[in-house]
Amino acid sequence: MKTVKGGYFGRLLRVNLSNQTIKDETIPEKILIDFIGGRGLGSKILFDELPAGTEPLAPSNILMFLTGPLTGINAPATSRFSIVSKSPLTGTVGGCSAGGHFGVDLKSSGYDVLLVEGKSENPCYILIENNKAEIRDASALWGKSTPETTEILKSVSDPKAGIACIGTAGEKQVLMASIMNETNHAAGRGGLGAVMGSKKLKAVVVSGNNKTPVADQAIVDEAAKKWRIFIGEAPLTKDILKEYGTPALVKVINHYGTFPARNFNEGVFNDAESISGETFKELYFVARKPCAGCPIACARITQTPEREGKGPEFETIWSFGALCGVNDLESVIHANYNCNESGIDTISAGNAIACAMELSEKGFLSEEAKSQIRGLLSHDLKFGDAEAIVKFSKEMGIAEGFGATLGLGAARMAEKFGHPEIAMHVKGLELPAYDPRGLHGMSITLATNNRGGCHLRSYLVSTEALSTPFGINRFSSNGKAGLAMLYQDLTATIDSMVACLFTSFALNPDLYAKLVGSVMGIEMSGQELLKAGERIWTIEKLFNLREGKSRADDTLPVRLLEEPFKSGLSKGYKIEFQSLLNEYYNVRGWNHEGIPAKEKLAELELIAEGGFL
Amino acid sequence: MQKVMTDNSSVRTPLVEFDREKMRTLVKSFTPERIASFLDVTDLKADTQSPKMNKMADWARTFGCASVCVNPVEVDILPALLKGSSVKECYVIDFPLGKMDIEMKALLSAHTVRKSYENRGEGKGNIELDMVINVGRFKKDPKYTLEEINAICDAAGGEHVKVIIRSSELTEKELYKVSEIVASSNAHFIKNSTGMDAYGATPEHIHIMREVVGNSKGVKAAGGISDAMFSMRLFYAGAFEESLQTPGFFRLGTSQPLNIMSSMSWLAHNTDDWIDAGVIPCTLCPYNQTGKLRVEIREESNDFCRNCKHKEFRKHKEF
Repeated sequence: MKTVKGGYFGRLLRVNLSNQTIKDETIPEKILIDFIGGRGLGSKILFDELPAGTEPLAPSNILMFLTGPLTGINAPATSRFSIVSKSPLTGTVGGCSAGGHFGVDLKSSGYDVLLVEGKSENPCYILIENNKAEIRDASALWGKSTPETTEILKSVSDPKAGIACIGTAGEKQVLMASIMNETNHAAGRGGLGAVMGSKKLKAVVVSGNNKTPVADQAIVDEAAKKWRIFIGEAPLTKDILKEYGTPALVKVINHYGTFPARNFNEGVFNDAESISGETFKELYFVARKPCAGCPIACARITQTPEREGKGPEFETIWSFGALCGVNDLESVIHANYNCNESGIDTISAGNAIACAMELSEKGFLSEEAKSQIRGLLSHDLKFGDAEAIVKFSKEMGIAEGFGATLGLGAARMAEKFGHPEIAMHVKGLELPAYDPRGLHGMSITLATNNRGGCHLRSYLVSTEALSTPFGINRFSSNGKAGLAMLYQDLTATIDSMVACLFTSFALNPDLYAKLVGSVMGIEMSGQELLKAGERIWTIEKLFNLREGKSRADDTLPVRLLEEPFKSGLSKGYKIEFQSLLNEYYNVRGWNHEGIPAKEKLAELELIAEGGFL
Repeated sequence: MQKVMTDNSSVRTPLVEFDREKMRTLVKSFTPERIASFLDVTDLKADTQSPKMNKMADWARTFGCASVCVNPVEVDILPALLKGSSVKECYVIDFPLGKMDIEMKALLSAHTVRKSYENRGEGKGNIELDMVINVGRFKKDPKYTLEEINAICDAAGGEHVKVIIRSSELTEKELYKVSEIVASSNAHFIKNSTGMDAYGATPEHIHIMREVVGNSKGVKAAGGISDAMFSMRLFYAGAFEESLQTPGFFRLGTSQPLNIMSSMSWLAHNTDDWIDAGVIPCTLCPYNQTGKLRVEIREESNDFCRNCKHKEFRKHKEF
């Protein structure tokens, strides 16, 4: 029997906003060992506590803020935290992670997990300081932007506290609303900000001076030192991300012809230079703004002649830029600032606008929609409209005019106008900046992702485009099912321990296992860590199956499957998707419909959880 | 022994594909620790300074690498950093062009060896010299090259000498020829590249070099080696036989040893999938590299590409 000797306080703080109660609970040790923490722990609790069919914006949905065993141990790139709930955008398991220092502060407050349930009558915020928690009135904060909210809360609590909050988008339960922490870090995907808004919870403020216990400090220090050495020398983490941040990817991904432009109609954006990481650095970069204790330092403060803020990241530059056919980087930056201020996921927002641009150009919008658009822009919506991305990103944040329609997300909006094929999404979540027509491994990772069309749960781009840990044939499906599983399972553990995904550009399964194991006081191999990752992936899959998701949901938009690119370095290639999906299910030990076999559930000790199948 | 093209019908496919089972067996026999022992940790940049030297020596000692490979000027720093360890010092001679005359090359070699002895104080067997041949003279007078190599070996006083042939500047016929010369010389290793040539290591060239020198000499691959999968392809080409899998018979020169070790761990997980995923063949092929080459080499490359079964990739340069 394994015993956990470090990494956790073993405490969960349960706050019920309906009856305003606060309860301190112990987290069973077995769950920590099996699901590690962060995303894995959250997914397990969500599975156990949330009945199937729960309405995501109902009081009965739960919202968790979670740390992992690495949080607060002073290892590099481990200041992140996870948020888990049922996603209102997708109806699937919803989870995000974000940087900054909120994660470390939550841990320092003495809790591993904050679980929020119910719904407050009035706007409120939760304050946790050194093992003590209270629910406070936030009426005066309701309607405020995320920077305003953060500043006000800093002034009434520890100025160094971690603060996670929603903006107007979350308050209005916009389905792509994000949760922002330390003003500019976003837990963006899947609309968890709307869940927070549905509970009338404006913010969470955390601080304290509890130190994360570890099994053996000397062994932990040695393992953490290795992390520093490897992170300090890998090309992506040593130089590229430091110099250009994530926008460094613009030219690389565009070069390969896998940079979706004009709502995935093209794979090359001819004006990529205008929105590249190099241009971004030259014209708008102010300073690096690393997360707490992070040597990679990818985040940056930026400035335009009119405004200042953080970002945008690569994905945002892509979604408001290439995807919308916009080559004006300054407008992209302003759209990003707008989203951060109101608390909107920039990937989904840019996607929704690009989708609307295509609907508009093809004449699929209703008269009412056209009139709303003309009311704001004085002209019809079309690709390349820089003014539109700035104005609509603002309007989406307050859910007004055509902005309210865009805020439904691309899938619901395209459905509303009778053309669902125009929406580029998986399970309702808008796709990221890597076109699988030129990165065939990404096809399976995007399609089978438990939270929908997201790249961060299995970043095969790393090997298919960035040659890290080494390059592979991006046009072949061979081996990709197994590699998708490897990346999905490993990423599940990275999100659960909780570390930054970018560490995977330098580290490997064995180095992750070594540090986690030494913190917890458990001998752990890379293989054992991956097994935990498989368990986490599977519990998320079980959650989705229980919600009625099926093989039909593990797919890509028809455009990506049926329309090869006509130009660029990925032209002419078609993904052999169905056979790849079959192979993937087989590799996972699932049947043809994507349902885990009993033997697999037994192997993962998930027999009870799979009882509904 | 030579596989020289005579006409298009005899053009063969270079070594860009690898037998799955053989590769699997090879990969499974390696760990991050084992592969480290074959690495010459290298930094030959003009602006290398002592903090980087300290770092390289630290990595090599910590992970048990074969040597630290630097410019000869570092002989005043490196011996002390490696003293007491089994890590060898490796100095490049007449780098990167190989255009000194033989006497000067020999003088530099002897001087470097002597300084290393003085500064390390641990006697013989701790130093290696990677000398660059004069490629221009070789093309005109191969005997000159044999004389040049042996002169350096003499000057090195029995310390190991590796011969850098700059394979990217040679036709296939010349590659065979120079490998034969190295095989007949007193040198201990043949090495393909300075890492600053038109292109670096390719399995095809390493395969040819091993084919010619046989089991009597070591082969060192260098240039663009930064991950474990590529390293394994080079092992496949140059040291597939178990008896050759020792640092005495095979080396990898790299400025990214940590990347190679870390990616070896990735490769150990899902080995079959990584192998099956493969790589776009042209990225491994010497005949894809035409940009900076002389006309006669470019024309040879074009012949290969025209008749290659993988030419679809080359057609659009989709990599």
